[in-house]
Amino acid sequence: MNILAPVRRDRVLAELPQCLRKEAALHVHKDFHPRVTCACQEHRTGTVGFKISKVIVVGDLSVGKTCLINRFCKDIFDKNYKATIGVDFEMERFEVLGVPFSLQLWDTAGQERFKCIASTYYRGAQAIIIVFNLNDVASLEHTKQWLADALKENDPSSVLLFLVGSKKDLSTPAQYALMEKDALKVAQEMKAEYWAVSSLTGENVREFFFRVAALTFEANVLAELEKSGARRIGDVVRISSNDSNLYLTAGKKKPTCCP
Amino acid sequence: MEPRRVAPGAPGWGPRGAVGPRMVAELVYHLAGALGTELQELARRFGPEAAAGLVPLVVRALELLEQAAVGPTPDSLQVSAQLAERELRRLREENERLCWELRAGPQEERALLRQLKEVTDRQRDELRAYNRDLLQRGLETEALQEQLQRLLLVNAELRQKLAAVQTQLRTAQDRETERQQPGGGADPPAEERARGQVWGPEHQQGQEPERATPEDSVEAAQPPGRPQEAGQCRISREEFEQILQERNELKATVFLLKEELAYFQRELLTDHRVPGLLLEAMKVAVRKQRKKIKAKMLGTPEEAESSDDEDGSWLLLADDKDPPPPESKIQSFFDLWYRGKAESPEDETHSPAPGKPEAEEETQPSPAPELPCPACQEHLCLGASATPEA
Repeated sequence: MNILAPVRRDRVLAELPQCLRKEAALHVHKDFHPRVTCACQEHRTGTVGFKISKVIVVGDLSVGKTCLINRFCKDIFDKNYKATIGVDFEMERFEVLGVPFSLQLWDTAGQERFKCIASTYYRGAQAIIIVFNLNDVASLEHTKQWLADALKENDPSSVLLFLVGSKKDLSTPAQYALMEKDALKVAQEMKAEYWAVSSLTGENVREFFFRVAALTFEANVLAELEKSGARRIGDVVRISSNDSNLYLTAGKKKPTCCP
Repeated sequence: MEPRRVAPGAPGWGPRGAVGPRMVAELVYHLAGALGTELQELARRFGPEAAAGLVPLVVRALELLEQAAVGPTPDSLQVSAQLAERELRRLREENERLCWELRAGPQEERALLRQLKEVTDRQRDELRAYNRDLLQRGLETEALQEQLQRLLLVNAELRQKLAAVQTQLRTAQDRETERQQPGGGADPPAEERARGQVWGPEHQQGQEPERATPEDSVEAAQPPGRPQEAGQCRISREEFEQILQERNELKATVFLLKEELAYFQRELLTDHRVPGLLLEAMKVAVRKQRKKIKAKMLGTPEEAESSDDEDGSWLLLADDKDPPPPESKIQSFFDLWYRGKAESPEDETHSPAPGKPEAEEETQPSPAPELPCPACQEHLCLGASATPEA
């Protein structure tokens, strides 16, 4: 029994959303990792369904972090600038491969004065979204600093990075092409997946967050499978009176579908 | 002459009223015979010429008399009898038909009535069933409404709290602003200006209708519509963190309540009737889960420890690292029950200091970071970017 109600129909992911640019993607596989698909089919995802993955959104002030989250979570866009005080968060619930999965999107303040407060919320993030303004080169340059700050609180090897250019609607195709070249380079350097969005028009916003959800979920399930090690998730503990090993699992036989 | 005249007629004339047609005919023939004799007598006495004129007249008169006495001819009678017979047959047939019709009519009607009754009965049954269903649904709706009422109440309470916190925040800001005003706060404006320069280009590219001129870049950092005097305000960082924490908690609670409401709504709408005993267990489970989810959302440590291995559905993490001693086979089989019981009191007491060292993940520290942060060291500048509520 789960007190969480079924997720909205438009938050159901049946397949892996694809990346925006192959040059700067976390991976370019067409589908979820076979072990993940398999685990989901066999309902061996363990606690993942119950998991709330923490995602933090950082970047210079007024690049549109809050707008990006609001566009996705509430489908609204407020033209007026209202600085975020400290931090704020939104919950977004998904169903990936039939498994419920939640993202907690932490919206942080971009203003310097709040940085110390906001940074206390960086810890335990499973994904970091670094936002910059596609029309402001300086904000792109600052992304490296934002990343460094965020990684101080997290394990760089396990966290997923996304570099997101915002306000795409404000740049002409020529300007955008120029900016994209730089941004792709930065993304490759920091091993982040590159995205370009517009919260005003909604371009790529949904696609982007679906990608975040899918990749976070995938990483989560893989980590869970890894952690459970020899004892496979969901296996039944078999007990019989003359069993010397009480914890012998029923799944000792060769797995049929996982490599 | 006189005696002759009386003599022949005397025997037959008397009882005339009583005789039938045959008798009358015989009388006519008798009369004819007598008249013939008389006429022959006349002819013999006075010559045949004497009676010659009389004979045809008498014959004619007698014929008329005979006709009158005998009546209609027998063939005409036969015809009328046939006609009568045909009529009788026709009437019989008709009678039969009518009889049959009379018999058949009510049967059809009766069948119709029976059908009608069946339909009425069925409809009445259906109506009763509908009524029952309606009653049931009414009860369910009432229960749901009660639940809703309760949640609304909690919600309203939370909103009130939130509003109170916001008011507190605003008052604190205003107070700080007032205190700031005479002193002028030489430090922050300079800082602001320096930062303002950095913000400048962004603001020019931004979509805000309010364009900041380079001179008052301090204002550029402020949300539109806010007077500059309110710009500087200090509350302690600790206070600010508390407020933030409380806001996050409230937000998490609102989220969970919404989910819970949706859950109960769904349960009731999908007609899952839950027996009272189970409902109680369900409520406890819901409360536990809510606590866990909330802890995860807020990153508070105490629940992080119990989050993974409490519920039966997450049994995979049950005993990875520390297998219990082999002698307690039974207990380990019922491990989940035992653990569930052992942990519930702990949950209720909200133990702030967990016994286990925290796991590798989900260990949000209590906000006490030792980061270098000049603006926050002693006080925090807030007002310039606070929400522009008037």
